[in-house]
Amino acid sequence: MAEKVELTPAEKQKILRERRQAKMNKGKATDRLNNILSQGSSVKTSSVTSILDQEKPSSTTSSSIDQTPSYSATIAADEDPDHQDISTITPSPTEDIDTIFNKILKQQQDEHTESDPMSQFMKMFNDQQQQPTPQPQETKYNQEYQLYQNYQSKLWKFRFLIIRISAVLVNFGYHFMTIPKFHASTYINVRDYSPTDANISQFITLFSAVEVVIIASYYFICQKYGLFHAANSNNIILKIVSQGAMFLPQLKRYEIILARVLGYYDLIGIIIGDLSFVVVLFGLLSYLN
Amino acid sequence: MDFDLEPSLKDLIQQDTLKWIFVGGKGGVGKTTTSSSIAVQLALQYPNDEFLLISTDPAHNLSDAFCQKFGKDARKVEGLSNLSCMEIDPEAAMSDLQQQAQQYNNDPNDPLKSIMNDMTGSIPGIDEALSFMEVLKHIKNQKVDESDSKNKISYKTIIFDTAPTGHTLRFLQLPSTLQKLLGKFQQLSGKLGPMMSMLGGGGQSQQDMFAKLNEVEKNVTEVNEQYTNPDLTTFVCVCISEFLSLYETERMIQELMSYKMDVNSIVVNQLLFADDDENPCTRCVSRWKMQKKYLDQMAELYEDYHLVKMPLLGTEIRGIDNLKRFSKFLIEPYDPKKDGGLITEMKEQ
Repeated sequence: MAEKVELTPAEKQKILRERRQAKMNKGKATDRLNNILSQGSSVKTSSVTSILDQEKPSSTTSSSIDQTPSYSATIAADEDPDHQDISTITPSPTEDIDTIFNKILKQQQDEHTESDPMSQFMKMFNDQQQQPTPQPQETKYNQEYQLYQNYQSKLWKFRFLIIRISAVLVNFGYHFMTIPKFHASTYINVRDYSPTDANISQFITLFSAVEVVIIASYYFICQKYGLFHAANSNNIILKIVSQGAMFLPQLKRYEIILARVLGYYDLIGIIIGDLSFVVVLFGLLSYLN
Repeated sequence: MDFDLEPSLKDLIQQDTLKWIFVGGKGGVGKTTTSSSIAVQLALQYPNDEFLLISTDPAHNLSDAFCQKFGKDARKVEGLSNLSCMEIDPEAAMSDLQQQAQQYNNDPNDPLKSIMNDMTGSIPGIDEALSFMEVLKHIKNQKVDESDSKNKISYKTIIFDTAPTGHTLRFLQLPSTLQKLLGKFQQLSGKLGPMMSMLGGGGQSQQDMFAKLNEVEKNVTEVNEQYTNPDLTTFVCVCISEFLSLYETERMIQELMSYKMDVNSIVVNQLLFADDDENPCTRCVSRWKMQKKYLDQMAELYEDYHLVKMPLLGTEIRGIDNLKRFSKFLIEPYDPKKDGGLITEMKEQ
């Protein structure tokens, strides 16, 4: 006769849970599925494996398990575990992050569509991390190209220097020849003797116009041949800022501004250089006078 | 030690600690009717507490079951003021999500934004993910205190009318999967920090994003703990007495066990109980014989479960009145001799 024990609902539930768990242990879950299949399936299928048994490939086979289809309603007391450690039964697989993604996102893979956007997105990240290291020939080519760019930059600077000097000398010489008593002096009373009908401002106008043309041409040529970039790549300040941007992303913004400023620095240098040359010429003139 | 397990959900209804009840099974077995019945019985048993029934099935049926329109916001059931229903609308939830994302990235030309918009709409399992986010919201709302608005409701129990088995299992995988994902993401965030700021546009918004992800991770962990606690969460399997349904039910129970989710009740619907018919229909008798074969098999397989047998009635079970009458069989087992009249008495609504 079955013994009826008075238990609290919580205790009863706990015992029932343990019983249910015990019936799924050690390959019994697979047996249950195959038992259902053998009795009901209209197609002879090969045996299935329960998900509870899949993570434990070394679990015992059915050789020691009762194959009879009926389960006894009474369970011997010694089969009931006192305290079931569920953590040893239910698996906790450690899965690769990509497998987890595939589980969530590719539950039903459609053969006719391309791979889903998420995998493409992950591929993008993977590609960035797996960029191949440059070949030695490529490195050598880059170095030689850099040298060539530096050479081109210096060559154009030299050419423009010749043009600038020539322009200033021609401008100065022309006005020296055409304006009588074209002289300079540190003494104001000497400067007051300059002819009043002479068009002195023409010199500075011409100088300014030529400077604008020279600067625009220089800027155009440097942009076209990428000479600004070549010059900036060697700049120590930009290198420091670029390294710092890897740790402080905010510096990236300033790197762009700094590159532009360094480009304009070249152009400003042209104006200052030419003005300085004009000052030197007038200084010589005043000395000779 | 032998127990007398009642073939009813009385223990489930009377269990005071339950916060989450999932009702699931194969398609067409009566999940919506069963989940609605459980929700109705809970609401009747605890008239001073609030209950919420959420449908996570993209093909929602709650409105049809209660003959009342429900939407993405919880609405009270007419005739049962402490029960509310909600049908999660993936499209509306998706646009809410996109609006929230805009606070982190307002740049309309950002290529990442358009990629995310395209991706999130096409990811398989996005319906389950959105339902899960609703769960997370309710986790937060459970923690109601005095300083909160009086309109903030804390539900005693939330019942889920789930989608057919595959969808539900994906949904239930989400907490543990998300937990691993978020943990992994936090590890990677240090390495990918500069690149992420390049994509996301700035240090402050990146920090906000990480703070938000930390909050999500905390909630997901809490959900995972609650789902695997048998005092807080249980899964009610619904099936019919046929081979495919039985096999599916067994597979589902085993998979739920692998997720450490408690399953202790099985509801078998659409039973004919044709033995006691006065004028038996040949078809019903034959079908009932087939059902009995599987019922016997279930009795052996599920002797440690509450196996609840529910009758097939002569009409659909729709409307709150019919649901109240039908749902009492979840508590007091159906007796064909005593209750057989209900099969034809129930009026369609």
